Amino acid sequence: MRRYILLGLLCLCATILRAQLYTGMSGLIHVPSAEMHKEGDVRIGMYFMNKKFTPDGKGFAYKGEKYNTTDYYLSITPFWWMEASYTFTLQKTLAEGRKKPKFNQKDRYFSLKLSPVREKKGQWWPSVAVGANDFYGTGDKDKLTDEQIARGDDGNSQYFCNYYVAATKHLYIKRHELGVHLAYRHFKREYNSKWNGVVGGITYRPSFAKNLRAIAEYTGDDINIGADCLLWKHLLLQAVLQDGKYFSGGVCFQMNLF
Amino acid sequence: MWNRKKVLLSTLFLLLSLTGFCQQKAGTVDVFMGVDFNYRDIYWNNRVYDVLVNLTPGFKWNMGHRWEAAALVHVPVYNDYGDYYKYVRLYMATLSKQMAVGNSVKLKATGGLFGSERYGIDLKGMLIANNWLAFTVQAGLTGHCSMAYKWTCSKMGRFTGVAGAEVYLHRWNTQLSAKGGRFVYGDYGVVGEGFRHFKHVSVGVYAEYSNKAKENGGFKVVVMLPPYKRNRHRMNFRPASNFRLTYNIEADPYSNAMYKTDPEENERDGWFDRDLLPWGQNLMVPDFVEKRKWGAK
Repeated sequence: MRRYILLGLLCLCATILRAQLYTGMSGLIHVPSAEMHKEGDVRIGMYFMNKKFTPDGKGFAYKGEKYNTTDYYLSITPFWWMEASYTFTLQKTLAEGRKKPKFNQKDRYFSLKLSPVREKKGQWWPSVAVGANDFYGTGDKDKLTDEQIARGDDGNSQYFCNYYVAATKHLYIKRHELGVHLAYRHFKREYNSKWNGVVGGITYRPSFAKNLRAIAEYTGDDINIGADCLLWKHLLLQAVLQDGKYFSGGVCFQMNLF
Repeated sequence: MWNRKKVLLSTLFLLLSLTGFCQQKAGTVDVFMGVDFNYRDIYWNNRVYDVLVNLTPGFKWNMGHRWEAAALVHVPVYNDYGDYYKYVRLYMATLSKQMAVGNSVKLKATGGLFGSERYGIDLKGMLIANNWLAFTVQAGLTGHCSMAYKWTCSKMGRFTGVAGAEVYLHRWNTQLSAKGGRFVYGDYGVVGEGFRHFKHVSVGVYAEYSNKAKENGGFKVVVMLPPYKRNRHRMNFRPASNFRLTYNIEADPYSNAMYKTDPEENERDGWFDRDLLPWGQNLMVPDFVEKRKWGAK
């Protein structure tokens, strides 16, 4: 009985979901895709990021040791061909005169994705998108202000900066949906080079629970598995095991502005 | 072909639009309250954000013939910003008049205490070139005036002047604008904005350059607050019409800044009454449908 209730809950709202929840953009887990949210969709949410999920640089390590953190985001799809989001990720530092470090700073960045080509059911071509995360910054060594140098910036921020081109094709087999996603991405910083190159994944949406999506992806360094689920039209959840071991996950509220 | 159902629906829509457009509510008073939410990031104080929250009770008295008196008070309810912001204070008190000149020019003159702690006189104008292009101008002569801590004033000697153009893409309800000139803190700059208007919400991005602070940018969100169906009386109590959020990348509140002359001024409604030579976003379905409850003409 309990199983049927759970299934019923999952089927409450058969709205398509496409989440790369740590930025609020559409995608898989860590890997981007060429899927797009519906025009007018807006999302506000948070994401718990395991220390294995964050970049290896100085930004998310305290005294050389990485820590788990959380990010918060606001994303919107103003046109069918464009998505944008703003994300900030909490950073732990020791403020002057304090004894214990605290989450008292944040790394802020914008993401943008443009999709000039959309796939069509029954046609062979895939959706194609180009995008970037954390593309605007003042973190390079030659741009540092005196104030930034004084507080220890090393000109190596834009921790999440990457550019990508992605393609996605969905196949429908007896009302089940199988998504195949392939992307080439390049991270700006050397400490993220493990995620460079060809990445991709597959998604599966069963016919009996259209608001549930299972994901498996290859990030260039490890294999992640996860699932996301849309409840009551507005509440989107994602749970992930990175490399099959390390939990990350998020929750967001989404609605359409039209 | 037009059938009876279509005609009825069209008539109903027209009537609803007219009641929504109906700003000639002479003699009515609106008492409203919203929330002024401010946050800032100071690196060294061990907090992610400093927050300042003010309640903003205010009123608007429509005196007829597009004359309007308005005032807004700030009542701090949470304050990390310091002593300067801890007192209840009058934030705006204005008298304004709007008018149309011919079929393509609309003007608004305002005097009094404006936002951003300025007082003085201000003139706004819009020249409508066609249904997608308009030109705007704003000029003001103001001084500093604050009632935050003590009543402090400077002479009304600062001239500000900004001119620009607006393009409205009706198919996408998207508004693009560019303006430049001298802003309220004496800097010279240019600002470009793009807004996508949705039902009850507008989202925009902006980029700007100032001769003092150089490049900057960010985004803005304007949410029109419910209830969207309202009964109108002579005295109306309601929440503020909108909530605005501005995100400024460089956290610079001074460059390319301009005071507000209306307590509920926002980018979605624009400067003028929506029934005064409607243009651009004024032609969208109105956010608020109002029904009169008294026998005023």
